[in-house]
Amino acid sequence: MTRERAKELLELYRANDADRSDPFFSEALQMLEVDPVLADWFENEREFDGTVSRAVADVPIPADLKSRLLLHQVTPTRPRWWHHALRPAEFGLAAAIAFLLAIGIAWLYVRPPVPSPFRAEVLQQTWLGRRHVDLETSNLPEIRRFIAAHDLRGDFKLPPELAAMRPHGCSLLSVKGRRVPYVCFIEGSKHLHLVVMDRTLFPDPVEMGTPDFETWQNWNTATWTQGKLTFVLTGLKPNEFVKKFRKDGQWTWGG
Amino acid sequence: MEISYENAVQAHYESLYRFAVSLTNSESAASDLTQATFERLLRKSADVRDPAKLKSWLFTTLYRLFIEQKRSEKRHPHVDLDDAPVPHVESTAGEALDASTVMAALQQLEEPFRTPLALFYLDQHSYREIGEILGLPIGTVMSRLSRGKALLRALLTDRAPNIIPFPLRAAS
Repeated sequence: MTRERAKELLELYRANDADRSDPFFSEALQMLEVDPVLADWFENEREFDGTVSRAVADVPIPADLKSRLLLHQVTPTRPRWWHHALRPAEFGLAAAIAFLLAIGIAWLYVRPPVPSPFRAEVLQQTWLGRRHVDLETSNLPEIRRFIAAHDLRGDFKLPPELAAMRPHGCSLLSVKGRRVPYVCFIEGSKHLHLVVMDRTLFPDPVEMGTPDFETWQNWNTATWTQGKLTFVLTGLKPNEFVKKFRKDGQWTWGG
Repeated sequence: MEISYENAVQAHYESLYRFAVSLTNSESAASDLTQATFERLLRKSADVRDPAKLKSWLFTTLYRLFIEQKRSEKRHPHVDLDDAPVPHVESTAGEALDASTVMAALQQLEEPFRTPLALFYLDQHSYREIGEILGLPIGTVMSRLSRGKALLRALLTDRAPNIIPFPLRAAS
């Protein structure tokens, strides 16, 4: 093998040494031991590859991407025997009938818990909207000013546990043709969205000072009313967090 | 062994997103492409019978979705004003070699070189996996990686000479 041929092969060798036992590289790797020029070139090559690999591994990931992906969470199954026993058209028809039957039975007898249409809309808009936040900042006063600049109530009071969390930014939703702000909080693996709105906008009555919890798939909403405002906290697991707001038998909303 | 959707997301969503950024040069388009790939996994999970092939299947699917999208955009061109493109590389002498510099340099390469290089550096795919994902013979992968690396090295060393002291020409 010539030095040039060895270089051609070694250019494909990964910087993490995952190819060490691949026979494709064995002859070229052996040449490194007897050809110092080639060894020198290879060291430079690996250094460059390692530097680039580390740099691209630092491309930031959107904070909400994983949550969005897990929103669709189900467990895919292995192909079953009927995948082979039925032709695609037959299988499709059988699956459709079974699906409709299952849905019908579920609605008639089981009635799975789903959020009220309003809360489902809030979940959809806050977690599945194209933009995560319109204003990205960890500065709560700046978030309040942003909300107030849109003629909305930015002076709402937060429960102490929520006020202690680091905000990530805020955005505006359109609910019933009116703009409604939500604040995004991210701390470690905790990622929550707090929607704040005029209580007259919220269609389901929520008892003053007592939270109302709803669950849909892995998504939860905790809703409470304080003064003239209704708050909807949404996320993957906000319920346990919200339960910490209760102190000495009383809910402490900070208001 | 059963493939769990949650495990698939946990294991691969970051590298898939980064691959999508290298293809689209847009954060929002990359997010959409990553989501579309996992939605396809939910619908077509029966196609992935061997869990060991999951990674390759996901990257292949993402790449095919990207190609489909590009064909569709050629037929129906549009401009997305909300897109946040990866910044163009300007002279970076004195700057650290960071992710945006490398991604911007990658964006300046022609797609036939950029895509195999992105797979090589992101999640460190083997030349065989790259061939499988892109549907290319090994010889083509070799030549594109070799040419792509030379171009990338030239771009980065030209623009950040104080940061990456790699020789433009290999020692001979």
